Amino acid sequence: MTDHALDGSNSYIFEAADNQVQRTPYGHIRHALLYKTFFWYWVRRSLVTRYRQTSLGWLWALLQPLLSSLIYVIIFTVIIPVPTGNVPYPLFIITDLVFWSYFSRVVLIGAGSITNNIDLLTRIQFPREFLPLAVWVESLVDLLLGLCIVAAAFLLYQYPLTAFAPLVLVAFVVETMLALGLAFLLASMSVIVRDLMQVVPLLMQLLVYLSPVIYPLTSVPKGLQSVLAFNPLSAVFATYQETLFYGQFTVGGSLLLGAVISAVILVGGYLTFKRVEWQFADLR
Amino acid sequence: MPLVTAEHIYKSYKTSGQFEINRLFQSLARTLKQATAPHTGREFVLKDVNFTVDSHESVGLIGNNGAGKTTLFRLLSSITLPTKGRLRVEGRVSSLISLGAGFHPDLSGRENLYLNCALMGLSRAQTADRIDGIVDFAELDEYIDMPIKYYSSGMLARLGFSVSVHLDPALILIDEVLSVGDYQFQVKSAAALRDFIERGTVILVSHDLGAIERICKRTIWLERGEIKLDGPTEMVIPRYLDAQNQILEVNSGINNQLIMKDPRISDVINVSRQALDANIDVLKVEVRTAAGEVSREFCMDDTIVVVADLVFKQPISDARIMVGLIDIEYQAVVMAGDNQLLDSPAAFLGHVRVECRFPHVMMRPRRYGVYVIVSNMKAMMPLYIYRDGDARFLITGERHDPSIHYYAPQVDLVYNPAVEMHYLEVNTPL
Repeated sequence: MTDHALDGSNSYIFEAADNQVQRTPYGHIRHALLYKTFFWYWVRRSLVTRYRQTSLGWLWALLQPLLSSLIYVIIFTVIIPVPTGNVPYPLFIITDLVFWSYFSRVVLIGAGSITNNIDLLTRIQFPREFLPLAVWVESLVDLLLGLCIVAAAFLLYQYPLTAFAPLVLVAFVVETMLALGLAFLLASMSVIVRDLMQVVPLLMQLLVYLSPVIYPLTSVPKGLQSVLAFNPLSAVFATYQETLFYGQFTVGGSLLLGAVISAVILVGGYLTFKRVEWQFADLR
Repeated sequence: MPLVTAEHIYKSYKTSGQFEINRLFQSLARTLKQATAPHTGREFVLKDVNFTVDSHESVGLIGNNGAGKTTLFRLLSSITLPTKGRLRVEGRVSSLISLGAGFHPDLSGRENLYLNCALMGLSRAQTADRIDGIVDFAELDEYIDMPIKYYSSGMLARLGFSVSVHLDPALILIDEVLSVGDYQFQVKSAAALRDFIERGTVILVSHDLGAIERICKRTIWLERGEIKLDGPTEMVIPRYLDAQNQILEVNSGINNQLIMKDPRISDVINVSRQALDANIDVLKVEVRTAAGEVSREFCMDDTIVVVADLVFKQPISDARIMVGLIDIEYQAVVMAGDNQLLDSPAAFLGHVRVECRFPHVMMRPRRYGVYVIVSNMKAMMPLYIYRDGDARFLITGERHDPSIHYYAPQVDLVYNPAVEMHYLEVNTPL
């Protein structure tokens, strides 16, 4: 007997009938677990190769948010001043940008994770949702590095945190659900409608202005604020700003609405993804 | 329970599933043009395919291009689903189409190996067990920890191939991508595959019927998506060949008109010569055994020596002399050698005699022709083309050394570094 019988993979069975894969929910989990090593290597591969070519290496992960914050600082303090109350604008923008780039990375790169790896999909089978999920894990690593900068900024400005600060976690969960949901949805759709990959970056640019990322929600006229409330991301960033800078939490209602919308998008996005995942290799 | 069960499998690809405005306009234009054309509906790449494969069975899969072999492989490796019908595959499937999948140029050979093994569903521990064997097999030595972007294509192929023979899958799908690396590595990989074939279950797609005859007891013949015949190889292959020969006979009439008959060389029936430079002539081309005897029949592992006599009436500089073997059936170059690595005179004048040795050719058993091309190395312009239009020699199925396992090179130019060319005479006055 060869050792493939010993490693237990022989008990793995692939069964398909009439354009449907025949697997129990337990079977899905077993199948996914078979590839867990691949998942971690894939995350590692992206992290390791991202800066390997550069001379500054991993420093870029810190430099990038710093430099992009610098641009906004120049524009919105010198050229068009944005009122942020008594919060120093650099502290304000760097915090928002770190959370924003987490969101935009998960959505943008997650959406492209299927089309960019189509060669892999047409040659090897593995749980397809691993690709967007790997982008999410990578982005978490980026976020952690970014949060170090944020922490340093808070220390530098000696800006005090209030008891509301832990609510950041709630906003983070909502943001993650929305980002992953959109990534799944866009990844599935972009295989069928390739044009999406051209449109999504533009939409993200629009979204950064439609959400209170580079400006505080309070600087938006009252009438418009209720419109923005339907954008889950606006509630998320309002929560970040209120809990971290203003020591209050008045947007609970819109955050709850945002959480519901995000959860619907996540479930809908994932189900769409599972529905079309077998078409990825066929359509390319 | 058989390893593979396929019941009434149909497969069609939705070409219109992808939304494209261009295509929309195209199809609109087409609809207007062929408004009267009957609607054919979905085209099935596979139609009502039924078969089972038991454990430790080796099955050949033959059929012309477009018969659905690749689609069947994609189904078996669960990359795609059957549109209709039921498919069940037990155990891990490894396919040689997945060679090198997921390789990243900036990662080292070793890092890519770990990733590739994980992609095949191996755990970290299972990979660790195999890694030394894979690294040894790939013969990359100190290069293994270098980024693979510095690898030659041969090194990359060796790396990918080494993974696939160490996976120990329940079922291996082989699609003729077997000539990897230099001659020695080819022999080694062929032996590794044979070893695997003896232990495991194999489905082999090949145009090389000789290989299928040797490896597979059973053969499935696919034609236009349907199983034409499924049974013992010795029953299926002759029937398949009969069908192919009927097609060949129809086609061969056209080719013969293009070939000029040359009475000067008695042992060859059809030779075509294109003298683009009138000062060059190829007088005689002989195919010999390693011992130097002219022969028209060789065993698979024989060394073939081609001796060509050329005449240069005026000095010709930068001349490249190329000697190659052509597969008559496929009209494709199988192996070639040239004088680029030789110490050549600045210009050729007079009589030149070259010898080209093709050591242990390991070519498919069938008919081959020989060609000699003189070209200008700098301008890349052919000056003289000599080509056998008909069979010059035959490779029979036997081999002298049964320990050497034979695998078919792909039907395109295989640059074999083992091919050696020598001058026997250079610029002897006429």
